[in-house]
Amino acid sequence: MGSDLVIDSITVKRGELPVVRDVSLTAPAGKVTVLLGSNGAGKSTLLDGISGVIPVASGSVSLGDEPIQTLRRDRRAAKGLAYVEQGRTIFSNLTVQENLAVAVKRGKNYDEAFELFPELKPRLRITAQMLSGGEQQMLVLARALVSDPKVLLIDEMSQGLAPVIVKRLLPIVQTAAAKGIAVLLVEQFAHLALGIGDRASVMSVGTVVLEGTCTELLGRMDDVRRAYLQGESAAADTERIAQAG
Amino acid sequence: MSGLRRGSIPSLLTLMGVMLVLVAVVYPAPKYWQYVATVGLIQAAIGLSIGVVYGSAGMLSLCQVSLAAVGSWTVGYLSGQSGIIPAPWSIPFGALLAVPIGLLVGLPAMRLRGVNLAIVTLGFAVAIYSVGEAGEVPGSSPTFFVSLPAWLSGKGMWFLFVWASFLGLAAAVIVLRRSRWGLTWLAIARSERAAASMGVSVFRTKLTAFGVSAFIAGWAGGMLVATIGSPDPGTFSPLECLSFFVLAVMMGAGYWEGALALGFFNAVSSALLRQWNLPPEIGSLLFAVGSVQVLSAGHGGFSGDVRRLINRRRRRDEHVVTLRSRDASAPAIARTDGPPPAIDIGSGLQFRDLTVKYGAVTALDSVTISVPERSIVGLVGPNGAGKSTLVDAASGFIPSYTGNIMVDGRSLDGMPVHHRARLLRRTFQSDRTVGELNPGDYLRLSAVKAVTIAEIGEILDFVGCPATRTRLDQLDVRTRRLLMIGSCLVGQPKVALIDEPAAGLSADESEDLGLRLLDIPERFGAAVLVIEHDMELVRLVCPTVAVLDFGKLIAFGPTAAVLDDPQVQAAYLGDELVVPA
Amino acid sequence: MYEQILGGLVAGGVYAALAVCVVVMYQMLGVLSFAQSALGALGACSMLWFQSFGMNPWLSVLLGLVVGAAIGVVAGWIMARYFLEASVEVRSAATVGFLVASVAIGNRILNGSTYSFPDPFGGRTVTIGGQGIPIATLVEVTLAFVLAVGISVGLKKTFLGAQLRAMSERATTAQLLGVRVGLLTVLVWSAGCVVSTMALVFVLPTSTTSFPPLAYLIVPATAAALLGLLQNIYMAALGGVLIGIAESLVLASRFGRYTDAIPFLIVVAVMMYWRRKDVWSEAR
Repeated sequence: MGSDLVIDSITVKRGELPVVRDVSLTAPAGKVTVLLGSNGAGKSTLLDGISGVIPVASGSVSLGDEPIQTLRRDRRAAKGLAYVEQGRTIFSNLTVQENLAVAVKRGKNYDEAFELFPELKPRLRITAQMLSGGEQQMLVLARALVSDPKVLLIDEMSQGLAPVIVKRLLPIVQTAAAKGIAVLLVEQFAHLALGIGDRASVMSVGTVVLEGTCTELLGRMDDVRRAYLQGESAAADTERIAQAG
Repeated sequence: MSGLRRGSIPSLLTLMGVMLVLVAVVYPAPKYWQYVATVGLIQAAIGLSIGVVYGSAGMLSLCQVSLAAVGSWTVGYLSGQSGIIPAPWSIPFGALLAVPIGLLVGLPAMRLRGVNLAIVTLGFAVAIYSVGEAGEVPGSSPTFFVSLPAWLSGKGMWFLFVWASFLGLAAAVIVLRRSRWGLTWLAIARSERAAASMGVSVFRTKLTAFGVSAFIAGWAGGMLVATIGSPDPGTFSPLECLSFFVLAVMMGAGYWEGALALGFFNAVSSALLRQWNLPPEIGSLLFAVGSVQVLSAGHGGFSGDVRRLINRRRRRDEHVVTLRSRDASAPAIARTDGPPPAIDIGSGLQFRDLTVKYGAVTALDSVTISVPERSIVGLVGPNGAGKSTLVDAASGFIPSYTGNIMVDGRSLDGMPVHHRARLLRRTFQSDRTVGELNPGDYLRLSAVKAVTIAEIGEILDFVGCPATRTRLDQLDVRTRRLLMIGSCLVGQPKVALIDEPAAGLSADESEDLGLRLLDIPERFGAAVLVIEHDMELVRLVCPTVAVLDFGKLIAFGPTAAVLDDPQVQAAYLGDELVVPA
Repeated sequence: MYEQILGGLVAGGVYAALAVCVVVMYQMLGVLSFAQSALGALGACSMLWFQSFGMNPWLSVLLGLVVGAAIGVVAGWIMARYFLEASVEVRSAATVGFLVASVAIGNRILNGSTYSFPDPFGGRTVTIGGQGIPIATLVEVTLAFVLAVGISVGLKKTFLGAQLRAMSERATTAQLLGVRVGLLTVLVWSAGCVVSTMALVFVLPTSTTSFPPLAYLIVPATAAALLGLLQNIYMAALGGVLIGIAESLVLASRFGRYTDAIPFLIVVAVMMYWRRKDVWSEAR
């Protein structure tokens, strides 16, 4: 069973520079929450802050009621946070099986993972380096899922993948949410993500400038486009759409 | 490419100022403190030497202190043992003799990098140390004395000599760092492959770094033996080499002020230890704790931190660089249907039956693609299809392949990477610009031969980046990406290979990029091969496209036709992927 | 000449064991530990200290290993706490700090005292091919190779090994998956220091009672590790033995005063020959 991911007014800095400024967001359990924005908007930095790759400068991150922003990264993983980083971070010198073994939580087996990714089963003994790009992305997702997460963060899964593969993988994100996991999906390509998400937020220059349900935003692509391009001045007036749920 | 550049002058003035303060304080001081200051300046000079080879050129050479030993022995022999050339005239000889030895040490650096090089140079330091201990090499045994001539023995005169030496060496380093040599040092420190693709001879660059560094170290060693009177092998022990290196990293000796700080710190701390009658072990322990502390905190060392503070203040005054939009009056004809490609052409870029194998894996299988001059061809395909291998083969990073790669009918076989750069330029998927440089210097570096301000301005205009003094690592990703493309064009190549330029860019940024790419053939006379996953960009920019899958060419023709081909769709596209317009 | 070769095995075994340590720590932790022989020497010196109270030699060896493990825990803790995100170069530079501190402490311990350390095997020898080989030497060389095999197998077959290999490749990602990188760092450092203490224990009976030469054993050890390209444990061990033998041969020759230059000469010759065609493979 998942927990809600609650982010309250967090600021994340890279060096001296605040890249994420005062962002609040909730990714409810069982739903896919989409995070959009152009290059440099701060999406990856936000995920880095949530997962502990970068310490949060201020604000809080909670899994359910439990604040986790002061915990070490492996402690957060133990609490149920899984982070699929950008760039397919497989352990290239380990076999597929070893990649999964490092992540798997006690009591969990690989059945679910093989159900979703049957391609991995015959490749258990193959070194991860030998897999194709699409298979590597599957491995990374499978690895996250066998860690029995309550919250799943995914950063730009589609980058560098053939479109036919991306179409294969996106529904799996929905399946994960259906199991009760809170999914926060960061994507560059708005249409892809909005097609499978429940709610979405658009970030620009470190803050959230637009929020709403995915269906609504799909009907307002001009606003989404403008939000992608908004500069600092527009960050002052954020727009919130009354949501229907 | 020589001569003082505007950018050197502030540094030179600051150096002069600091050195004047130093001489004003030390010259009237008692002899003991002059001695301390003298030794400190010599150590600062050794720090400069490490700063050149590691701070600027990024090579982990742990044996610069040993090269100082060579200078010491030379002076010891010439002025002490045999008396042929009296000090201080023997000092330049010591510096010059250290150069070929330093170049010899540089040779392993052609094939070894990082910690591997560190190990080899440490071994060299131990070898030199054992030579020094044996005392058989002329000038290395402590049985004679190097004395100073009368005119240098007077009050403060030797200190002034050492002071002037450091001033000269530091000024030379400042000027060199801004010169072509310095730009190439910084370039290879960042990425050897990118530097070579820009026409930089990595071999020559490493040699100049080792050569200059050895000269400085040799000069310092000569001064040291003249100061102490006779060589002391203990000063060049491996432990000293290692400690010195770490100090240089901590202080950021790539910059002259870091080297000076190193000398100052060393001199003052050992003087204080002596004053307070503390055992040397205390000094060692303090160094140990201090080094761990400083290393865990920073990057670029102490002077790197100082420079960053100064830069931060300056940056607040400059506005954030934004991309100017493309000139709207020039119409963009997005051709999506070109003529069918000719197979054999006499101009432009031609791959013929190119096959690359890594052991059992065939990365490219008999690929034939032609990019006619002044045209744009796209290259698409799933990850692992061999696109990057194709570009690497063209650049010269793949040692063995079968088939032909030709530019304007001339085969590239056997041409080293930096020679190919005259004909063929490429970008990289990851950011390989040289962060310490500003856009103008970066383009100057890439031009290889002399280039006018107007030509640099032309590129900056094409890229949409104003001429700014801001360092590249403080500009945004999109500007750096475009500058990397611009650096290809400043060399007036026949062919430009552009590798996934739109990765991570938004739809609008991609379109802006695409429109700029369209201008390249007309404006710069180059043939362009664009590798991309972004189909919108490919349709906009490329009239012809080639599709690779598992190393094989599965389609090559007019873009619309190819992308509609069911075989291509099945392998790669799925159904039409909608990207926000 | 046979004598020299056997004599070289003593040093060679130490170099082999240290080289294995260096390679493992480089691969697992991304650090080139310049302090490895110095830290081991500290552990071995503690053993001498216990001995000087008349303690049973075997017990003092055991306690020395415990001290070695403790030193490793301290070093590992510092590395895990402050250098987790650092580059290989910065971490390795930090070990120079450990080296300097060890030499300072070691000098204090050894200075002026006359320690003697009896051979735990009582100087007994085994006769092979007409020559007597000290048992201690045989045990030492065998242990070095057993160590190499054990580590190699352990890394491939055990779960801990998989975790270590994952950590060595991508420490951050491993952490995000729940691997306790800090704990593993301390563990590897501790084990490494135990091994180097053991290696130095073998060298003590035959060395001078001055600390810096013990610290400088790291130079032939890293040269041997480089012969294994900092990857291959077996090549590193073999390289260590070869360097030891080469040194011993040179020591007996006319050039005996330049023995210390041997590691450099060997490693440069071998590396330059191996790498002569390899222009771009390692370049970024």
